[in-house]
Amino acid sequence: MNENSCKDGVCSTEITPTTKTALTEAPATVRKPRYTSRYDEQAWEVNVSLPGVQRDDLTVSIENEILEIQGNRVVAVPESWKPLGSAPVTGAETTYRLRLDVGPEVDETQVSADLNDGMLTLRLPLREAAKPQKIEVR
Amino acid sequence: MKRHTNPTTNDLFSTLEWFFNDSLESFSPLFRETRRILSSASTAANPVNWYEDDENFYALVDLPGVKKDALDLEVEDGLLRLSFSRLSGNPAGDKTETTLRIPEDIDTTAIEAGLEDGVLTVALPKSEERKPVSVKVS
Repeated sequence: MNENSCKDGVCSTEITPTTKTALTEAPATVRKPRYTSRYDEQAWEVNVSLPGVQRDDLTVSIENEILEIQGNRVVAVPESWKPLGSAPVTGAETTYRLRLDVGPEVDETQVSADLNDGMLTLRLPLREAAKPQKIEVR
Repeated sequence: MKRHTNPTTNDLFSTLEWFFNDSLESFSPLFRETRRILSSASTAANPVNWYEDDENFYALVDLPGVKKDALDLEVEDGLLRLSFSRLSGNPAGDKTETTLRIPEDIDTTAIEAGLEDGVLTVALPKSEERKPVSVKVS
């Protein structure tokens, strides 16, 4: 798609119209959401801020120790509202994407996720073997 | 650049590459502390977007994890003060306060607010003098 033309030792790359279109037709900005995490002896708990994301627009998956969260947020203000400053226009999309390496100690079959008021709460229970073991002293 | 997605590789270079790749974060014990500090630092700031139409100014504020009854709004001296607490499970769960400077000539007695999916919408009615007046041409 790109054509390099060189003249007198100066090279320039021409971007063909197809490349330009591809750039302007990607409206969703991808952002890493804010999150906090904590753990105890039983599980990890992760809270991910996903303001404006509805349940149907959220996917959470875990595979090969990688937890992937992707939420789509669409600005849905009335057409008559005029954006001021850097406010996004109605219909503008933001994709929140977060990938976490949860390590081998998380039991991937027991992960639970809850979305409430724009906050995703994930609970990642540890495998039995990863929980602290009490060793009896004889 | 090739994304490194398998952090289990036992070679130092790929471990380093993986550590500095910010799209993938780790629960591995070595990095827990670093990550805890980084994630606790990212709790401030609530983005605000402004809109207007003929009748109102609108402020949209991201408040993920904040429930209606955990939010108080107060207007004083041209400032809108939001005080709120997040979901109890969140380490940033203490009372937080943020103030917005509001436009002049607002009818402060008729401000309305709604909270949905962690996004607060505040409608600030323009006072009569501020509204556009159409002049009839005779």
